[in-house]
Amino acid sequence: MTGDIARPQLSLKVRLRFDRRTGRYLLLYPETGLELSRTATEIARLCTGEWTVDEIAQHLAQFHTEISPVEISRDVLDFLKTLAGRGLLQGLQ
Amino acid sequence: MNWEAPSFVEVKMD
Repeated sequence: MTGDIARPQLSLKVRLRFDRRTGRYLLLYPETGLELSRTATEIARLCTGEWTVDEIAQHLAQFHTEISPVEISRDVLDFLKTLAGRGLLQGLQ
Repeated sequence: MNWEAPSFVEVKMD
């Protein structure tokens, strides 16, 4: 599935939570969590199943003009593939 | 804020 039609969504077992102690967001799932970087958080927040990969990248590109949209798209897709590889994401296959 | 490659650190839910 390509970026123009894939609509990634966090798996049912995954929760995105803000940790007030560290000021960072965590992806929580059974027995483990991922402390996300700022850009990883921006991407994860848009994994609602309603945004395509391309829409996510285009949306973020509006706020990060210091880097090319192509590079953002690549980073977004790489990150989403990593999450999918851990079983944390659906809708990307 | 500048773009940085998205990353994460795995933490055990102890």
